[in-house]
Amino acid sequence: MNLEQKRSLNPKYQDVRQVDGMQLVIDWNIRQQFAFMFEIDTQIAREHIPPETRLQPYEIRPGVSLMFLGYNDYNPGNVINGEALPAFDEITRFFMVQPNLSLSMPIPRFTFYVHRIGSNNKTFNRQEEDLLHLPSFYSSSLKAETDESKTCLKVYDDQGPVREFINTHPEPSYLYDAFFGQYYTMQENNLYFGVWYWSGKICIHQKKGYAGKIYDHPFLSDMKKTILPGDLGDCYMQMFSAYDENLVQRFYQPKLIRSF
Amino acid sequence: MITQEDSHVQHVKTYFKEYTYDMFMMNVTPEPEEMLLFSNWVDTLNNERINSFEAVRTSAQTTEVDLVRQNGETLHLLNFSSYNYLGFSYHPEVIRAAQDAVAKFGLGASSSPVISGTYGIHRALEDKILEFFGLPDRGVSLFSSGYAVNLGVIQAFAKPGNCIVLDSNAHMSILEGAKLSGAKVKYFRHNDMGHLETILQEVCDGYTRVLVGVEGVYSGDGDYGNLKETVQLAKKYGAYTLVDEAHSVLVAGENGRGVCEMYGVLDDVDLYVMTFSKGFGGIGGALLARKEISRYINYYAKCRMFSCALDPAVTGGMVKALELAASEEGRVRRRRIQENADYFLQLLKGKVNLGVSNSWVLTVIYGNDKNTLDLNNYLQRKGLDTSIMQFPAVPKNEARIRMFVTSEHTREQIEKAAAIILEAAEQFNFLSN
Repeated sequence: MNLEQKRSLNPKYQDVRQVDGMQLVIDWNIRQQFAFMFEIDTQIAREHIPPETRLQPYEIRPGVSLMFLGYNDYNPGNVINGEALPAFDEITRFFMVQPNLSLSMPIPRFTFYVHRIGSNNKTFNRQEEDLLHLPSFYSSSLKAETDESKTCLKVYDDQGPVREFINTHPEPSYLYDAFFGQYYTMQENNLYFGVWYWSGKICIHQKKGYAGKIYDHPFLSDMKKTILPGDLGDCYMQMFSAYDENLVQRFYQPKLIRSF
Repeated sequence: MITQEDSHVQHVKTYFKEYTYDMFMMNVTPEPEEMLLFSNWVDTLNNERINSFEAVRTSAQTTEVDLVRQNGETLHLLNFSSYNYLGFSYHPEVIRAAQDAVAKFGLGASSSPVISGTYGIHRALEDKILEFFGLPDRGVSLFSSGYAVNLGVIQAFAKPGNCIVLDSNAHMSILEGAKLSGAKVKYFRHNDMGHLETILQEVCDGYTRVLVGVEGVYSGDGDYGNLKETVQLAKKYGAYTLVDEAHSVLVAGENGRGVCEMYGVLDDVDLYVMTFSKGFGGIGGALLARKEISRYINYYAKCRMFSCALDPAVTGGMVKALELAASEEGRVRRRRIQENADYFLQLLKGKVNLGVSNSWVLTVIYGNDKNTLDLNNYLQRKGLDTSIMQFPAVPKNEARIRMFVTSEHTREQIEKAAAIILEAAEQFNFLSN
């Protein structure tokens, strides 16, 4: 597929039901989202991406790659197998990797290796594991709140704080955007590849400044010791929505790429 | 009347313009899909008559130029996109010196500088550099490109087990040299001396050698490097310093010795890197360092050892450029470039966002990356050639028009350029409130 054909799949103006043979399987509605990309040593990214996947970290500068930490506050009413879910929270941890540009789809904005997701909804976790093959973590008491300054979002549960996101943009403005992305994930020695779509109003910026920290929490238990709890250093890019935005996130049926 | 189909086509085009070149940089599959897609993208930009990059100049980099775009269109433009800061690339005496050198030594050096490629004209340039800087006891290593100086010097100076601490806005050649060296690479926030000190505290005991890499003038923002404090901190923690004066040599400082001269740290910098393609108006570059360092670099900088020496014509021209830079004419041109930059800033101040520039590299921040192709196309069609920058070269939504002011621009040209910028600001909605 050449670029002319790829661009005809403009995500902003088409309701794409399938991508390169992968059918649309999930449609989430999210009322608030935080997605921060932190700079990390490429060597550390490599340690968290199994070598057999042959995936390469995406470098923004020689020796510097990106770890993507996210928080999603889901609207009540998202449906799984006919069951309407209450509002729930999700945290994510990905590493940015190189994309697959050979597919019949628009150029992906980001491609992730999904390291772990976590939520306070068991049905959601089961769906993420069974359908999308994502490694999940369950915490019934997971929640998030904004501090008085409205610039810091703290995520925590009964076992303590998980992470903090600090907005470094003094005057955020929110613009409509829509794009496709890709992800890789490992489940029981199987490597899967999937495609996702995102749309909504969001603030994207790269203002420097102190952007948050991760805490010594069980959600970190599968991390190598090269990423220690504490301040996360420079945030390469921040993306966040205002509260009560109807953000859309869609997933397409992932493919098994390789078994080990 | 706009039909729904027209509207869709327009939307698709808009989306297409949102691509940035980094989106094509990698692909996980064996097919060279990223190359095909990138090529396809360039073709489409040409077909839509908005590709202003890689246009062919039909004459020297004077202050007004004719250029031919990739689709064959010809435009006559005010030239603020070339870093021929002192106009030496077309100075008659520089051209004559280059002609004399090519007549005497031939077109190419035909050998590595350490084998048989070093000519008398190369030695003359080395001597002239030492004389210009007033540092007769130092050594000079010539390279055939400015990029190669950083690549070769850093790779030779630092090794695995060493640490290189770089300003996060440092040039790609510095970053790649650091990567090539095998040393641990760390970055400090741009010009943030507190952050630099924190990193130096962390690394000074754990690595056998530490090198701090900064620049005199940063080309993306046009601001000066904080050289005085950088050198002080490096000394405090026993680190070495590399200062890249690509955009400031011959231009900054009373005698043209760069930002190091301005801040009084010329004697304290371990590795002084200069480029011949900007203030000198030629091509190539050099390292100025202690004699034993430069001698070692001559042999261990692999891209120097295994490349042909700087070509004789350019070398001859550079000797003359240095003579001019040291003369009254050089002082006049240095004064004029600063006056021109100040005048340009004054015409735009308070009307658009000028970022943090305080040099002859001017920036006008228009913000929205998605306007880049259309804005650059607009500026060229209005008669102004600039060097536009967007993500990932600069932070997301901090896209900017970058302009290189030279000593040769006239007041009238600067006024015209400022008027075009302000018209564009109105059209693309980036006038200051």
